[in-house]
Amino acid sequence: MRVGRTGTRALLADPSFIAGALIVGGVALAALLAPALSRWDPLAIDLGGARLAPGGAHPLGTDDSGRDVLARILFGARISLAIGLLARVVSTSIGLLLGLAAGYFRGTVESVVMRATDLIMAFPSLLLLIAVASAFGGSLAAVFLTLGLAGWGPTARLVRAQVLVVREEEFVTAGRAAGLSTPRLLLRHVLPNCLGPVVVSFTLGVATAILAESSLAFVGLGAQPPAPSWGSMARDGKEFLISAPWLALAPAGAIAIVAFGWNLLGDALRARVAPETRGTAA
Amino acid sequence: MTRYILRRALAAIPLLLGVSALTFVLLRVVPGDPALAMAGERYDAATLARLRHELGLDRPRVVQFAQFVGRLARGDLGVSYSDGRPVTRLILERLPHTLLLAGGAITIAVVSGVLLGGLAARRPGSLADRAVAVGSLLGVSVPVFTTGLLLAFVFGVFWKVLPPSGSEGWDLRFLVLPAITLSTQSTALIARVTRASLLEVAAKDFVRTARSKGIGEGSVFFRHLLANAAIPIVTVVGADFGSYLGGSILTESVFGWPGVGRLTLGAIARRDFPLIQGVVLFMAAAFICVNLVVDCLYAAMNPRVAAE
Repeated sequence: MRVGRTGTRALLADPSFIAGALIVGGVALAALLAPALSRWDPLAIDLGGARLAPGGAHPLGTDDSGRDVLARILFGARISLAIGLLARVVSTSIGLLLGLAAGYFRGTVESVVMRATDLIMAFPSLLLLIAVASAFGGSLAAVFLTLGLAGWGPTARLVRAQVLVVREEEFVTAGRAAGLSTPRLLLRHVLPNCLGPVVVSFTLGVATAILAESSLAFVGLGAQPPAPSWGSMARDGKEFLISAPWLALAPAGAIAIVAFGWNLLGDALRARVAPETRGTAA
Repeated sequence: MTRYILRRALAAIPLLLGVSALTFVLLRVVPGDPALAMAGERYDAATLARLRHELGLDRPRVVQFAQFVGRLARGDLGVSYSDGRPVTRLILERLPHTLLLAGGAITIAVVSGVLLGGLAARRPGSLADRAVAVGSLLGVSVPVFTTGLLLAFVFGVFWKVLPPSGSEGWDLRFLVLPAITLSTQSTALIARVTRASLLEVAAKDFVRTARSKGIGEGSVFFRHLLANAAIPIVTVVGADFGSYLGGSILTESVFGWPGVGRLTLGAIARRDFPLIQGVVLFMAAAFICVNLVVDCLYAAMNPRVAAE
């Protein structure tokens, strides 16, 4: 992505970018330093101290099994970030590869790829995830692979559209005339000129993947207990909304804050890369 | 126009077939034998063989797929493992509740989304515009169940003005919180698109002409601006229909709403694969059909689309 020096400076002055970077950076730091930030073990059960109200030794209270909610949220940040990023890496790689092939080779490759894209996007996303996750089970690897395999559609469409424009540029014709091999031409000349929108969609996509992971966990198909996934914490806490509302509201709020941070970052990047699309749905 | 509609309808057929093929494949890779799951804990080899034969599992995969599609065409989605009744009947029983919920949510989303988008577009860069921008980014970031849990807590538990969950017949008080919950993400999306679309139209000459003729601001907004800005709004409402289907599962889970979403949740909890796949297939088909209708609406609103 070429933002240029003035672009970078404008980005650093953009309040959405600063707020987004602070949120995402803060959460990443909390995830890394989780063991140092809390003196409680997120999995340690203490039935005598179940559902203690927030305050004192437990700033966010304890859950139904007496586990410290803050510790579980801090460690949950690891799951949320790891799955969000890994899922996006998988789906962006697939989308890039397919979009590049479809846009450059055209013909049969393009029809096959685009029909597959239509198909995968014809499923309402959470339903596709439910179908795949119910088939593959709930290990962390299964969850991020499911999210990655279900989420490449928009990237493939985006990259194909970019490639269709870039492939007509003179430098591509020049490269071909100079006898560059197709892989070299694609990787060195076509791909780098398509990356801007991909970076934006990657960033916004992390928010989507984090939300999708938490939704899967909330319906009971995410990382399996006792892993402190925010979505499953909210699901378990839902039963105690009247007697111990912090159990559901704390993790549910954490998800919202993290997704908001990634969306702020993505929105700020989009304003630099493709100013005309700011404020539209992409 | 008729030709356009026919062409779009024909294009939906391979998509529906593809969706059923994908669902079929997923149903087959599920670990565990459906016959084993139906037979329960006490089974013998003979019962198992009979069940496998009845389910058609002893035939080649291609034949199985053909039968699967044949049954689909007749609206037969198989039989629920846990309930023993046809999946189609289970879905149709719950569907009115989900339609009521989705209908309420779409109404709220369109009205508030267009109003907020209109408010933001009045003065780009104003405080109202920034507030709507931040609010709509927040709206797409907050998961459906977070909104639901917050609303249920604040209005149902803390202030006790509305029931926090459940439903009693067609008492609409129970609908308010779930419908608002399901509408938030869509409201945010519609507000963003409305703002962008209105600003684009507002720069056109005919709007200036209308204003210079002395037409009132209200009339300019509805007759000239909104009427011409409506196409992207209709498109986003249609494209977002899938999020209502997924969102209804989460919303119904939070509020104990007795629709298709809760049916799905129960099916997931009991690992009732025919029911899970049936719901997924049903909803994907509904999504494709809604998008077909939106395409046609789009063509009716913009004759250039159909002429292409």
